[in-house]
Amino acid sequence: MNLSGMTEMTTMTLHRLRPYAALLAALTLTGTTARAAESTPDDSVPTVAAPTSQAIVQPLARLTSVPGPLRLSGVDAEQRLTLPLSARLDVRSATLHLEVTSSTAMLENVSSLTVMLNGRSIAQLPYSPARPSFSADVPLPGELLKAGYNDLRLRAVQHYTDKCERPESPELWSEVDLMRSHVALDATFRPVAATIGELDAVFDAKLWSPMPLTIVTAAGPLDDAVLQAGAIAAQAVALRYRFHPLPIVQAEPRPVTEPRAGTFPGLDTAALAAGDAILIGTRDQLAPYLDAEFISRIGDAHVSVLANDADPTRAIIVISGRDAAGVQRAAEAFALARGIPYPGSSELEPSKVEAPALAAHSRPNGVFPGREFTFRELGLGDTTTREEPIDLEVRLPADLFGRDDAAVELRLQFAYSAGLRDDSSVEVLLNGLLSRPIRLTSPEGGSFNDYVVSLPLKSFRPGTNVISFVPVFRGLHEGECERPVTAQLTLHGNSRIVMPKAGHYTRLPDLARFGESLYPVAVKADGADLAVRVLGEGPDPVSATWTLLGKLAQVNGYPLLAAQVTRGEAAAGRHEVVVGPLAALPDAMLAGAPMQLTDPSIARYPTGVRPSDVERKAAAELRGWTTTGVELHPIADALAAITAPRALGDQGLLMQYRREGAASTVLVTASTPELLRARVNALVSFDVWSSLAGDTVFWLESADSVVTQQLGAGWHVGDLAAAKRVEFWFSRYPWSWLLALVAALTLLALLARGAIVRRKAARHGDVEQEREF
Amino acid sequence: MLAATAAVVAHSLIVPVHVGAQAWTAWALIALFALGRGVLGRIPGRWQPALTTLLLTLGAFVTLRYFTWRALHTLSFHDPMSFVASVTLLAAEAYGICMFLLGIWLNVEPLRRRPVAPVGPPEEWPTVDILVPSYDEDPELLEITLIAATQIRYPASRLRVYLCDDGATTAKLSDPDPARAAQAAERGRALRELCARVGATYLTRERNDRAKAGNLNEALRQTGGDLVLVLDADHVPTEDFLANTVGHFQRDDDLFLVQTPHFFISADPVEKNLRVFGSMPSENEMFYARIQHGLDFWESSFFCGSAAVLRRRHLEAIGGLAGDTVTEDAESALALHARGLKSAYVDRPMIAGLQPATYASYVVQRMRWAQGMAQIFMLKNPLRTPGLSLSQRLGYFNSTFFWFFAFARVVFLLAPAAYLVFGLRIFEGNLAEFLAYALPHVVGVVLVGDLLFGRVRWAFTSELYELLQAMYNLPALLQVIRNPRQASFRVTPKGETLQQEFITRLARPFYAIYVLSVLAVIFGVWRWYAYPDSRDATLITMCWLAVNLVLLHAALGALFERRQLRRAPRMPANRRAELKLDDGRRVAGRVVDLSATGAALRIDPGANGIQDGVEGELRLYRPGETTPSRLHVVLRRRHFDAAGSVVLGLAFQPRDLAERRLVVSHVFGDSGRWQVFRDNRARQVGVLRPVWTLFVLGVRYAVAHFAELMRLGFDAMFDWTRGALKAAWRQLTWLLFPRPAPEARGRE
Repeated sequence: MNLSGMTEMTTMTLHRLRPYAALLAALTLTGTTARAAESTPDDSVPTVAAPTSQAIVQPLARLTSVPGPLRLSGVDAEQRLTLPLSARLDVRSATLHLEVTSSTAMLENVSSLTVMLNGRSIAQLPYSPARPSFSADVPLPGELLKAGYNDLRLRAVQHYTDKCERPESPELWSEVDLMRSHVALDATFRPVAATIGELDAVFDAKLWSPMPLTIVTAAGPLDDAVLQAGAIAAQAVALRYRFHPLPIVQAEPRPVTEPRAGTFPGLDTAALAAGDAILIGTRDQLAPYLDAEFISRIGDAHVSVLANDADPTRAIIVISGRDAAGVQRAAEAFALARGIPYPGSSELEPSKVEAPALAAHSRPNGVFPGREFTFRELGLGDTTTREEPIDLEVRLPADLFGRDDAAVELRLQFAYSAGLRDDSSVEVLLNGLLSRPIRLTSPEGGSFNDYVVSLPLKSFRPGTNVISFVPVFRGLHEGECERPVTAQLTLHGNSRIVMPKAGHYTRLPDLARFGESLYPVAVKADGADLAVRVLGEGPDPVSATWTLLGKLAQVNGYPLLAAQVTRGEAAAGRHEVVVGPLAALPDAMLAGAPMQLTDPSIARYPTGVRPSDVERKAAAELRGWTTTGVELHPIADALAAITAPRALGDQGLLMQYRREGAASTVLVTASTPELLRARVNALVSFDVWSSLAGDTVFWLESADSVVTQQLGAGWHVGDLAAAKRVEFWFSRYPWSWLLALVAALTLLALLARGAIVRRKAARHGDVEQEREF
Repeated sequence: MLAATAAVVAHSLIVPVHVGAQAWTAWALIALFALGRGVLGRIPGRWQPALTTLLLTLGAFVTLRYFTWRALHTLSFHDPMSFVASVTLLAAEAYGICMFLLGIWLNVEPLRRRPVAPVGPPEEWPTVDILVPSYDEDPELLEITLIAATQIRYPASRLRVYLCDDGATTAKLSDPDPARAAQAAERGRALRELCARVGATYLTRERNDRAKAGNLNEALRQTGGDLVLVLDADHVPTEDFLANTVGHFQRDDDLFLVQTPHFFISADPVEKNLRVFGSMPSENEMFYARIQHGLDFWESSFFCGSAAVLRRRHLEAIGGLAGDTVTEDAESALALHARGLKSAYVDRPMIAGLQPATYASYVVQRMRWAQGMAQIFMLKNPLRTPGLSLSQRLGYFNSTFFWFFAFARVVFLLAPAAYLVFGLRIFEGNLAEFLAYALPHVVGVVLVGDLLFGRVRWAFTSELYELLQAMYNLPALLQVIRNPRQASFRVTPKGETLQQEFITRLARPFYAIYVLSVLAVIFGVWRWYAYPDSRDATLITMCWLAVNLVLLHAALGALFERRQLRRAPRMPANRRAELKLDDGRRVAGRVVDLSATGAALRIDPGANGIQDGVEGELRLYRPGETTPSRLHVVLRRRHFDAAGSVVLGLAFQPRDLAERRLVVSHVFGDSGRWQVFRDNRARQVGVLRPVWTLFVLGVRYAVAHFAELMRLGFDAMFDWTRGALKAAWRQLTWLLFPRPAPEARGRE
């Protein structure tokens, strides 16, 4: 991934996420570990490459969402990085390599860069004007590294004089090149010794890249029941990997030629040792591959966690049952048994699984119109900071429609230290954009109860939003000197966010919204309105479907247990997500699609290409010497249509549209099944997924290849009353409001006039009148 | 359908469009209003009412939209004081907007009745009693009124004139204070003699119960005419009064009242002190030239105490004039309307009255009106009075509720300081919202005001008059609110003269407000720099404060009383005349103004050379007449007018009652003259000119006011210094040249 891609990713999506989540996502995309290779149709079990367990090198750029170099400014500056470390890894050694550039005005001996790991200083690197650039390798002590999230801080103490100085003086700076600086690990995988209760540690989000996953289905031809169970299992793993894209391979079990001892006497487990695996099938279907004693333990439904006997560092999850319903129940239990270390055994025999009843639009950190939530409820307790932003993540319903003047109120409880200049402030940012400054005017410090900050509802976007509280502290002057700032800001968890009343109404298609919140297919969090259709034969469409479902579950934050996964027709009234190669798509499926992919196909072309932000900026800069200075923008609704032989090439195609028989349709396709799997693997990557927009998306491997367009017709969805729909219309098109208003006022005036004339005739008909003087 | 459309429009008040679109919409509506206003006079007359209705609808919508925003989006709780202040301000605005919308409704279709002359044989015309109630007015003033009343053109056998004197009642004659008793007796004697001389009947009563209402009711008991014309003591009627009104009663038996406008030939204190009398419409013009027409359309024009004809039968049916309040006129009309009876308003100025000459008198008058209307509002709430139609309820509600303006006006004066000085959060809003909601509303209100009242009330003049009344009306209203039955009738002093200029003592509350406003300006500048994040609110409030200061300056100018030496105001005239001097010379010219005591005769420059003090005979022609009236005059002074003509100031010297009657007839008898004067004064001047005029007058006369204050201050300082120096000198001399004490001397 190149730097611009990283930047774009950072600005577009990463800032919505909690810091560690962003970090994990970045690592997933950019780690130097190997990716799963594509399988060949001939392989019953694809060959997958294991992650290397040797030197793993991560540039620091992958450990932070800060774009560009890490800049440390002022007398005392600190930047924090988070270093995730999975318990599955046994780290032999770790080294931090730094590439640093510092100001030549720095005063030697009193200026230095301190490296701290989990609160301990592990190195001091002096700044010297004679050595403005230097590199350093800092060993990370093994005893300080822990499984989990390690706190890695770079603290710069910088002076240009030993007398009075301005803490914010521009001479006081140093930069760490995040691309050339890195963390190097020498580590191996530990044997899997997990229980059901510790499945999260097996499919560990703190792995710098997830282990390849193969779902082995023992059922022979895949029926809907197996598809469903596999889909739930795929989601269960994907959810544990949180934000990591997880390519999934569907395979059939490869029997061994010579049975051997162990839990898997009939299964070629060596073929699965490249990664983790899930074995799905009924007890009878699994009997040829598993130990008889193990088979005898399988009851109505069964889940067990086992080490691969060919490589104990790899896990095999067995999901089975007496019949298809038992397998389904076992898969559901696998998906739902998360968060607490229970049961402590490696097996689970769920006799009954009850998923929670979730209201529509229920999401983690979800906020709903007309209600108020404390920050603590949204995961933000009492928080103290010196200079780092405090982020509050809230998730709005994707189809929220409020009055244009509706406002979200923040009722803040916070306190700040004494000794600040009166131009200090707390800046309230919404999704990275400054929305409201709060001035901290008292040098004595202060505390606020219910300080109200109103943010227009329309400034929020559908789905996840991040409200940041950024302290901007200025020190008091002492004569010519400025006192260094040591102030703190504490934001209390009993601060509240008050949502205005609003309804649900929006316009589709909108793949950006789909990518961000799965709207409209997963308004019900368990996917009860969703049908996922798999078209085409062979393992690749199924692999693609499960990979996609894993991504959908990650976006949803909850497994889509009630989603219908089928090779047949979707149940009436459901939204459908269709995955299949081009040749497998019936013509009826494409009716209403923005791109008609029949052969010959009719392609629609806009009148121009909507420039990206970078292109727009470049065009603005170049305008001075171009002849016209006109940017090429599409003209709304003006589309050319070209009929030609169908030729999608190597691209994947994602479309959202409405067709008869389904509430809405999202179609994912590519020319061949193999390309379909490869493109879906790319699609679920962070940068491609976050680039979705419009109703038509083409892509190859990375975000650079993504092209989005709005080609099809739009429609509105929601549950607004007619009057509110009119409001929605007026809100979107204020001129129509003005015209309607003038018409209504004119009509009102004429009717009033008529009433007056009638009254005058009735009451004063015989009165002789004179004209006004 | 009307209701459905109104509901749709009402719903559009809360359509959620962003503030930019709100701004575009509001200003587009204002632009439409301005466009419509521009073409209104150019389209065929039959379309004008429809367009006017549309423009008023637009204006009402812009204001309702503003108020909806104010009520729903600009209130918030920061601290108790701020909350109280913001709710108080909102309530004041709600009052103003309520009156604005009622004003639109009321004036959407003014009914302009033509005068209707009596028909049929004169001997069958209704008999008319003219009642002139009096309490303490000067007999000279009463003489003119009575003479004019006896000269009203109506069959003599069917007309009686009564002077209803409350100044010499039995109770007054029995006053424990012998001086007062003697004064009352002398007054009674003089007025009896006057009545006998001019042909009127003198009436009085035992006690002074229920003030003017009681006086008139007693007169009603002692008289028996079919109709009653009520004239205040200073309201001199024209000769065609009954010819223009009695016909209405012949047409409709249910008619209980024909009200006509009160037309004043003297300046009120504002006009006098700001020197604008005649150059802009009088304060009462809006009511009599516009609002009464609107009230008439909605069948709720009411009795204004004088210059009105009432049907005795209907008055007696309610027991005479009501007297529960100090505004018996409106109270009685309300009672009669509630019985299903009708009123009519004829807009022809047929009396010439005098305004209170000083601010103090003006305040006395307005306090009584405010208290009386507030009493009606509280004791006889029109909204709940049975028998009234909905439009009549609203009409009376408008007429009575209006008088609570003092509350709103004081709030508007204090609100900027509440924010700028005391830091109270009186509203939540930013500049963009101000431009989108508030400013269009202000502009809309001004434009609607100009459309409805542009010819009879200059922009922001209402605010000035309300400001001048508010300080004293407010405690008067509070008194009524505390005890609605306790208000007492105070007669408005009329015909006063002022020998010198002075600052009225009633100016003190205005100084307090002015100082507070100036402080607010200083605080506003400080706040601008100290709180850059609330500059929007500071800017908005400072603009508001600037308007307040313009009004306050004008008010201070009006509080500096100018000299008023003339008892008999002059009014313009244009009549052919000839002056025949005792030495035989004849000078032709035109009489350019007339008063009860004299005339101004403009003659050619070549006819100069006449000496002051010369006596002669003024031969004065009425319009269209060839036979002149011969009036004895004496030349008092001469001057040149702007055109270079010589203007002779002549004083009437009537030799007998007949000549006196002639003078009154010429000066007061012609309603056409009053009509012309009123028409000339009623000009559409737009919005900007009045604002500029107000600003200039405010600055000019406020400076005069402050100069007078400084002079008084210097005088006081000089007096104090002189006193102090004298005392010091006495002390010094006592020390230097001690004198023995008298006791010591005695002992020596």
